[in-house]
Amino acid sequence: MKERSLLAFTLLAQLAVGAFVTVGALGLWAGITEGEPTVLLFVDGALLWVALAMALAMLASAFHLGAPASALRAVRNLRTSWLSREVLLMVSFTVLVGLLSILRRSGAGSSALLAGVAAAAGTCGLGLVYAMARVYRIRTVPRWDTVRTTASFFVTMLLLGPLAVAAGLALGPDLTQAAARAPLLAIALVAAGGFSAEIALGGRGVLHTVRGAILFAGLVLCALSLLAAGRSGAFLAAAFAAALAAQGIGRYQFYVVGPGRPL
Amino acid sequence: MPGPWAFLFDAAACSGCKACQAACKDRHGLAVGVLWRRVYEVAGGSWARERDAWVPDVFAFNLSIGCNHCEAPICVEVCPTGAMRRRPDGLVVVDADTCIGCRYCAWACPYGTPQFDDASGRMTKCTFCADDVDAGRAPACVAACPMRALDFGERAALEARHGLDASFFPLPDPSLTRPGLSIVPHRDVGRAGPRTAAVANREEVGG
Amino acid sequence: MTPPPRKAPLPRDRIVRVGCPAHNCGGRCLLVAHVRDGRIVRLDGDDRPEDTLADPQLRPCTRGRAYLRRQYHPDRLLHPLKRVGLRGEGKWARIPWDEALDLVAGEMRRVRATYGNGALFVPYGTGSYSQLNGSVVARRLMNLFGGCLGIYNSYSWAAINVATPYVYGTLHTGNQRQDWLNAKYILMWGWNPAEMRDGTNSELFVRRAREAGARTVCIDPRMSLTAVSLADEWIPIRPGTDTAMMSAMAHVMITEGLHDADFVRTHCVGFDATQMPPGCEGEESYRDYILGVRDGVPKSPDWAEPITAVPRATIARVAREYATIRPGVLYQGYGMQRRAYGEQVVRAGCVLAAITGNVGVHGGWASGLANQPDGGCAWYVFPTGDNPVAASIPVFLWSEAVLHGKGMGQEHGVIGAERLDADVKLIYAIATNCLVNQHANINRTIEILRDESKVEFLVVQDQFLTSTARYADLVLPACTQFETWGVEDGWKYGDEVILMPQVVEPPGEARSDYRICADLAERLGIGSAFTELRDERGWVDWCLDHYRRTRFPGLPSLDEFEASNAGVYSRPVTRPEVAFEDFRRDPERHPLETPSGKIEIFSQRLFAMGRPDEIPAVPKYVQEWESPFGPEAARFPLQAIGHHTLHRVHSTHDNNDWLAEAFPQRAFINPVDAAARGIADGDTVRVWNERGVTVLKCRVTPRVMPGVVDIPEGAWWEPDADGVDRGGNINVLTSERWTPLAFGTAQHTAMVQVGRA
Repeated sequence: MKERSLLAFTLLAQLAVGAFVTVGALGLWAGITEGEPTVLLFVDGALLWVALAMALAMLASAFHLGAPASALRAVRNLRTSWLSREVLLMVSFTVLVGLLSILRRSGAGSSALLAGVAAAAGTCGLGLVYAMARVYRIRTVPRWDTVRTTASFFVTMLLLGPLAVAAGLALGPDLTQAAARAPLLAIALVAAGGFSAEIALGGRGVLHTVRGAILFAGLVLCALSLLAAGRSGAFLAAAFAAALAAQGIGRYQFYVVGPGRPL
Repeated sequence: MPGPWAFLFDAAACSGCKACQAACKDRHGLAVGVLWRRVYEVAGGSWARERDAWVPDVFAFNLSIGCNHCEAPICVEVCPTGAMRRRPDGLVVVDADTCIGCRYCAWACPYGTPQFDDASGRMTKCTFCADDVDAGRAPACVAACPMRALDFGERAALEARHGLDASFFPLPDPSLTRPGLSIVPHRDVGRAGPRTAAVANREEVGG
Repeated sequence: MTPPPRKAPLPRDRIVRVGCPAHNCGGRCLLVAHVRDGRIVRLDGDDRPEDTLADPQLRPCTRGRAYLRRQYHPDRLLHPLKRVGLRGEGKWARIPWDEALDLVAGEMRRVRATYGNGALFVPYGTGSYSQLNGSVVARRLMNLFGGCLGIYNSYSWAAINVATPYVYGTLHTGNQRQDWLNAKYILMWGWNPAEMRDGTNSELFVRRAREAGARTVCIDPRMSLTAVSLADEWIPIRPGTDTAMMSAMAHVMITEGLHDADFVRTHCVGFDATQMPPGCEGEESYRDYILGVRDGVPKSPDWAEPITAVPRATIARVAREYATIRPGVLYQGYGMQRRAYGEQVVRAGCVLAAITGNVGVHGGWASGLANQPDGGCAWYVFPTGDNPVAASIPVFLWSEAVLHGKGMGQEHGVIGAERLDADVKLIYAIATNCLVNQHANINRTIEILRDESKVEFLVVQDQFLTSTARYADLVLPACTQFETWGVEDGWKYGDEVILMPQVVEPPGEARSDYRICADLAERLGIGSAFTELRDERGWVDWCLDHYRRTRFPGLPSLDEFEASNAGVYSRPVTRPEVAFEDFRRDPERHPLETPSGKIEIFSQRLFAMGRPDEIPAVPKYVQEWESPFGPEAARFPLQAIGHHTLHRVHSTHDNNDWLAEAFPQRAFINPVDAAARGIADGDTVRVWNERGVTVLKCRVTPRVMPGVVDIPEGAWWEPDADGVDRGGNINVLTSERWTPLAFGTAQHTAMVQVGRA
């Protein structure tokens, strides 16, 4: 499939934005509740992972090009091209996340500045996911030009991002169980919603049936995590794997269906 | 300044011989796999047995398509680098030096016009043989056609004579990009639809 | 391959108008070559400003436009190659020209001394066809060397060449094509000018005729490119049954009184008992046959339907249309006479044209071969001289002359002598793939060629290592038409002379066919007799002189012609000539060159041959020796045909990548037959019969009728380790059996089976 790199790019970028929003919420919550300092350490680490994911995503998207070295020319048509806008938002988001990370680690900048940078990054990130969807909303490609495309991109963000953070919470040594419980509960709820939304979006074919089974398994894992009242992040780590597989299959179907053949 | 230009294609007279395609490839030195002009064979129908005879209810026609140099070119809208642009004379051209080969235009164009060149990693496309047209000559495809099924002219003139609104299968809705393509229909175009016909030579036109 | 060079013209480019290289393509067209630094970088088509009915542009087809991919193909032969190892192994050693030419000359002398001139042979071949190149130069060489076994007829037009004169006494039965605009009805029977080209612009003239009001009908087993673009109606017909439909049409005309009884009475013989030739008064007339008076089988549409698979009502309707919508053209194509009893369909078509009175009138067409009334194109002008060897064989029977030439006689079509006095021992094959690729039953032929005790020396002269070259003892590299001089006039309808100046130098050590034969002549002591002290350009001058003295009095001198860079000198056709006008007006004063002086519906000469089952005196439908109606159909139920694809000119251009991209080699099969075999579009299929197997991808299409599989002819034979062809060559399936009267090829008569590979 020619579009393998785009598949990787869209999944990684949507994961990164979703993770950033989740980490931002986590940071806010930690700040408001004046909770454990380990949470804030986790946030610092997570920001670096988000920046790394975005760097990988940008590399992946550049691989799709015939002339990757000239990739940054792609911002030259902001006037009409959603791809230009996507590239600008992608670069802005990555830079702002990196900046936020540096500011936090160095301790420089007031909390107002940090908040401002974080808000700007979040806006760019959400804008990025929206722009990515608009890239495919081409009036001449009816197979892609549906609300389902936009919905699918945002649901991917809501599934992969928070679950990636949950996997980090579960697998990272930084946090105590107690500190992680509330975040894990919240993520489990959001993810359950995400899995349900994906199942509701529907589809056809053998691959869809397989995907449906994986989504259902993910939903069950979220339920189990809820039942464990956030005590075990392992369920959510497994749910992340399920979400990755399901969204991978779904995105693969999206690109294989493709724009259809012209004429 | 003359223009904007448009093609006139007589589908009733086109045999599907592809002299236009070959002439274009020679004119512009195109590699195998790069088809600035493509000839689509559309066919459908069935066979019935009547006593001892075979009776066909079969139809077929051809579409020779290069670039329609649309009035609302979606390739230009979506191109992220601005490499794809519409000239004042209406011709849509791609600047190979600016293009980064993202293929977004190829996704968007409903006529299959932008052609990716593996060797250079850039998109390429029909130029309407702008150099020749500027010098008062015909594009290579028009001059080549043994059936005289291809012609060209100013958009307004062709619109007045044959209209620019051909929309039979498998053509896309012309209001999407407002192509400079005037078609004299083959008598069988009315029989072709997504359930009754198909492009029969997919492997010959890039899939 | 290396990418092509930049195409925008530069000031230093040399622009040369030149005839498109003359292959056996059915066209004679004009190219405009852009030459830069000794290389052709671009080809345009005829760019004359006027494009009129009287003098249309000679636009090259797809193959001409893609020619540079052949011209600069990396596999071009550059050096003489001598065989090492066994024939057909494909192992070669490069040798210098001197050694190669010494070898050929030596072998020619040896074979002549041992077996006589009758053992020398130059086979039929049309890979190059431009006066100065191709087999003509070898024929001249041989004739000066004491002669060689001659050939007559062709693979393309054997039956129609022989059968047409039995009806009309001549091959010049056609009108100039501009006359088609006077026709009200055009029946294209097995004829596909838009795809195979039968004279540049024939398809355009049909288009204009249709625009002028003619109703057009295509009868063909496949919905060809012509059927799609030029026909109001397409009628599929079972291959090999055309004569049955023609007979049924005659039945309708006769029973409904629609034929032109007056014309038949005054201009024909043999139609009914009132006009049988002397000595044949009691024999079966055409009317007797059609009405079934003697055999009890009326050849009605009811009778024809199960044979032809055409509905009886359609047969009757077409009969009424052709008989009443006058004047009308019944144009016979050539595929249907490259079949078992091809002579019958030729005569049947001519007879239909005659009994409808469509002979000798504007807008009509007498059918048959249809060369032009004034002679038309000259085909060959270059003088080959007289062949001191009197005997000639039909082109298709060359392998018989190899196997048992000595003693071969009239039963094998030998003319000029009672018997041949030798087997063929030396073959000098120029510009031909007719030894292996294009001849029938390849698996049989290669066994014959492998035997070095039969053909003792085989030299092949070509631009590529073809399947014929594979079996050579010596391969000589010929240059292309762009690399040497040539000249031609129009294909079949020649109203123009087209100059072919040398445009670029030959690559490597390639030489022109003429130069190679001249060097051989030198070695054989006949150098100045061969060249008459002319080089290639000198001979072009000679040819122009011939054209000037015969059909083109206003033709400029070669110097003027070359300097003008016009490329073409044409004679506009403002008043198209019609064949048989005088005969029509006054058959007594202008009799035909037939025994009766009239159109022979019943032929005394054929009657006298005494073979009524295969060579009847009136045209009859004869069931083919391999058909859907014979016992062979139980194992091999599908009829294999091979149309002339625009991918190639016969086998020329098979290695042209732009043409392969445009028209990939496929077995075309109907969805009904495919479904029965579990075959889907694009599947690789096996096509086989007792003679061989070929494996290739298929295209499932409703454009070929059920019961027929179409494998375009000319693909290069490519046997794998098991001898299975992987190139899609139909000739592993075809039969070497020849037609009864013309000794012509019947390669389209073959039954096969198809299955998933």
